[in-house]
Amino acid sequence: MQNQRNKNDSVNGCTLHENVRLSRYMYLIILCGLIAAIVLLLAGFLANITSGSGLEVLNEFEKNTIGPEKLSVLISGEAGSMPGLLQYAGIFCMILVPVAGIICSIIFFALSKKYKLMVVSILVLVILAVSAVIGFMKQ
Amino acid sequence: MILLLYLFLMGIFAGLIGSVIGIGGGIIVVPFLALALKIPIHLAIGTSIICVLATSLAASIRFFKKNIINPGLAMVLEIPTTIGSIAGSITVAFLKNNVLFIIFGCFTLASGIFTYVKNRWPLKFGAGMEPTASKSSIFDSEYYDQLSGKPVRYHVRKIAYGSALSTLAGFFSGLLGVGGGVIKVPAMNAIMDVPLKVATATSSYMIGITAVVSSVIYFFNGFINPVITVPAVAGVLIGAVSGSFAAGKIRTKYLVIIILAVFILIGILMFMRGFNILNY
Repeated sequence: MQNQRNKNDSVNGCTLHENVRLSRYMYLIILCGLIAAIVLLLAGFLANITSGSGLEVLNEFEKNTIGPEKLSVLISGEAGSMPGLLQYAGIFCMILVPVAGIICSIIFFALSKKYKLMVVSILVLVILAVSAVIGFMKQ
Repeated sequence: MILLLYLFLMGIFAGLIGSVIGIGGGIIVVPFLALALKIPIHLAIGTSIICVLATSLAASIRFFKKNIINPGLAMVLEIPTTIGSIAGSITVAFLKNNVLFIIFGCFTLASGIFTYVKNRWPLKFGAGMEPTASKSSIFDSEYYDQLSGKPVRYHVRKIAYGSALSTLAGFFSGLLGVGGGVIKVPAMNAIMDVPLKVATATSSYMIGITAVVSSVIYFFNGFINPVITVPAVAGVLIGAVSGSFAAGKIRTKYLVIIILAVFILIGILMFMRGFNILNY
C-alpha cells in the first residue's frame, strides 16, 4: 500500500515512497551491523570466560583499555589477548553501525537529489570525525 | 562470576523498563554500577553509553521496519546534539566524582517526574498534541499510520528551538551516559510539531548517533571495559526485545508509579553519595 503512493505526490522533504526506501536500507545496515557486533562480543566474552581471565581487570581498567596504538593490532590480528581484542572489536563494530547509517543517508540523499539533506548528513559525519580526533588527542 | 550475573540481570531490567515506558537504560545502569557494584562512576558512565547505543540500535531496527523515523530531521538535530555531546564528554573528565553524583541525582529526579507525567496523563501531555498547519520545510515528511490506515503528512517548524534543546540533550548524554530522549521527544513533539510516534522513533535513532560521539571519546580515555560492558549490553538487548513484546500487555499506570519511586530512590542515593552522606 505504501509503495503505491505516487512518487510525485510529494511534500517539501522526503515523500513516503522515499522514506520507505531509505528506511529499508537503514534497517538492513543496522540489523547486519548489530548482529556482527553481538557475535564478536559474545565470542570474545566466551573466550574470556573459558580462559579464566578477566574479572581482575575491573580494578585496573585504565591499563586494559585499548588505545590508538592497539588499533593496528586489532586490524592485523596480531593479538596478545584475543578475547579482549574480540570484545573491543565488537564494541568498535557497534560504534561504527550508526556511522554506516549516516553514510547510507548521504548516498541516498545524493541519489534522490536532496542536496540540502545530503550536506546536513555530511556535517554530522564531519562532527563524528572531530569527536574521534578529540578522543585521540585526549588519549 | 556472580558479578557477571548481576551485570546481566541489571541489563535485562534496564532494557525491559526502558522499552516498556520509553526511557533509556542509562538512567538505571549508571546508579546500579556506581552505587551497588561500587564501580568508578566514570567507568559506569562509559559502560552505560555503550548500553544506550545498543538499545538505540535495537529500537531503530524496529522503527525503521515500521518506517516512522524521519532521517532528515534526525540529521539536522544531530548537529547541535553531537556538539553538545562532545562538550559533555570533555567536561566529564574535569568534574569530581561527587559533582557527577549530584548532577546525576538531579537528572534522575527530573526524568522520573517527567516519565510519570507523560505516562499518567498521555492525552494532556504528548499523544493529544496534534500537528498544526505551518510553512513547509525540507524536513517535512510523512509516515504510514497503522491505526488510521492512512499516510500522515506533517510539517516541521521551529528548528532553532529544537536545536537549542537538542544541544542540552547532547550535553547530558555526553556528561552522564544517558540517552537524552527525555529532553528530545517533548522538544520535537511540543515545540516542532512532530507527531509523537515520529518524535519517539527519530529520538531513538538520534540517541545512537549521539552515543557514538561519547563512546569514541570514552573509548580512548579508558572509561570502557569490555568485561563489564559485554554482559550489561547482552542483558540490555534481551530486556529491550522482551520489553517491546510485553509493552502492550503491561499496565503502564501502575508501572510508572513504581518507576517514579525507583527514580526518586536512585536520585536520593546519588545525592547522598554526592554529599558524602553515603560513604563506602
